[in-house]
Amino acid sequence: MIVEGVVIRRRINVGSKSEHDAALLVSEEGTFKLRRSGGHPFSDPDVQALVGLRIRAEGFVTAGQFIMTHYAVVDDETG
Amino acid sequence: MMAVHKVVVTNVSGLKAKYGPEYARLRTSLAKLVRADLKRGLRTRVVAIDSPAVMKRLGGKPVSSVNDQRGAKEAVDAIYGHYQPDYILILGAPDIVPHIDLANPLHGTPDDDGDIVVPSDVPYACAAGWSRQPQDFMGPSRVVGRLPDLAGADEPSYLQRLIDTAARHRPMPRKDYARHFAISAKVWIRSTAESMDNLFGPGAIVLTAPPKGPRWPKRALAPRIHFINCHGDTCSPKFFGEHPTNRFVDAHDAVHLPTRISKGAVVAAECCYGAELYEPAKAQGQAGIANTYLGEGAIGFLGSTTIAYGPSEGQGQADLICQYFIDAVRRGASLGRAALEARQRFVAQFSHTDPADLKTAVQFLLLGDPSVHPVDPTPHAFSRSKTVRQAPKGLVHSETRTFRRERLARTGTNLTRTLGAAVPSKDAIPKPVRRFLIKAAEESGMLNPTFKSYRVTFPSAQRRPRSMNTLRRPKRLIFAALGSLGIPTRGARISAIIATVEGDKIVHVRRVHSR
Repeated sequence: MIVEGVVIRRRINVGSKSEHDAALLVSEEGTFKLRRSGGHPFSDPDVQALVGLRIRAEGFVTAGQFIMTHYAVVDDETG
Repeated sequence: MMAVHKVVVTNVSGLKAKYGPEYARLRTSLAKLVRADLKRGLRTRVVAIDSPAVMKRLGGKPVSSVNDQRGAKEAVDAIYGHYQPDYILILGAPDIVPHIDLANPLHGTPDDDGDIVVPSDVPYACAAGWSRQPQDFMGPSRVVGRLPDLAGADEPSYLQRLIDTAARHRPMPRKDYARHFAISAKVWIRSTAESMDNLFGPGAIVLTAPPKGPRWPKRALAPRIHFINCHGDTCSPKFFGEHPTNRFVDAHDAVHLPTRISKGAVVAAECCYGAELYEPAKAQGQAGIANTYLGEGAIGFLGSTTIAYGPSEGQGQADLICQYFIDAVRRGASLGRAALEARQRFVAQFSHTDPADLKTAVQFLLLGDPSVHPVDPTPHAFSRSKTVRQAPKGLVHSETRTFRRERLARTGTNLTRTLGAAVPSKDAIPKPVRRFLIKAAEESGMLNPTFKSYRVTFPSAQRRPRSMNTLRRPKRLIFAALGSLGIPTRGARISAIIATVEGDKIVHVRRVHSR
């Protein structure tokens, strides 16, 4: 599936063994923890670099996470 | 009718659709397993839950598809009702026999647990009927395990290997399970060290990540007990260490396991998603750690399908259920009995389960043939006496397994009838309690806490024993303040303060140390 949204940073899974600061993709389809296929699930510098940006990503959703296989930063001026 | 001790439950049309004519190889392997079981005194029957004729004979109905969760649960109940087997082996990944998706009691706040559902095999281990509520499955009484093939596979060699490993396993002396390989995220070393001290004696070695891992030398992995307390994530073939806070490193990696696992190894993994049976295609073709261990000759793996819980210091949730499992294995229990005893022992310590405990009770599942005994149980000395050995044929017929099943069923029944559970509610937090929680959160350095309410429900009066009906049963509510820490206090990160309230009194309060 293809999803477009804004990437934010937030602490998630508070109180659990998975509590950590994560990049989240906020989109019309929902809010998902954002991961890159093959990337580190907890600290991926490539994903962290997207915080604050709008992206369009292709991937799949599993267990509340969006694991992207391709992505591109969306330029607000050109959409 | 001769007793059937073990039932292999599977969806044959699902296996045929997945593997085509190669399914015949699985039939051959299953026939070998049945013969091997007979040699060790178990009569085993393979049951296709998709077969209308078979299920009708057993008093049940066939599943409508491989995804029919309710159908699968009710089919297993019918099978159990007909055979009352000592062991139930679920054969196949969730795309053959599904997990049951239970509601996650911790889902629903801004800081909440990301799992919408908790895929579980525990309902198959319970006499309770169909439900999606985890609190309905607090009294497991059946010995159940799953031998999974690879989700999304198109040839059956992996599952053949697992079946053949189970058929070939011979219980080993206890000394062969005396050593351990334990790894921990460094931030959780105190909790893991306590677990290992409990299992292997004071000073038991725990390796931490960082600095170690993920390329463990063969000699480090050689012990047959593996205990892992690291981070995990969905669709990931790795577990992760952490130190300092928020700095994650690779601790364990499926790609480094082949040829390094001792035959007969037993693993308990506290990690989030440790036993998730994901499709390898979702992780660039790499199967998960649980699948890889089993494929390399490990005989059993206890792990979680979802986000797990446990304190950074002390013992709780995942620490306990994993510890209880390994303890029972080392005392000679079959894998399945060890898993059942671990679940029962875990929930039996509570008057009511709070949401994290409730999730823990249903999220851990056994991957492995439940009838396998890793450790050779030591028989009673008299059973080897001349009198017993030379008794007339058929006169002495040990039923100790039957007695154990009766005890386990009694424990499961008692838990079902008496254990309370905290379920989400919309109860407003009384002002004095809210002020108390806010003050406690401030003192603990918690930033901007959010609040959740739960109501503790107990089984209906009709199911409770009379002795419990005389006990006072006031309305019991639980209110939790959840939030992240600004400044760690005394090395611990506190993420939840939980107050149990009856009437206008806080009757119990605890701080949960976050992982």
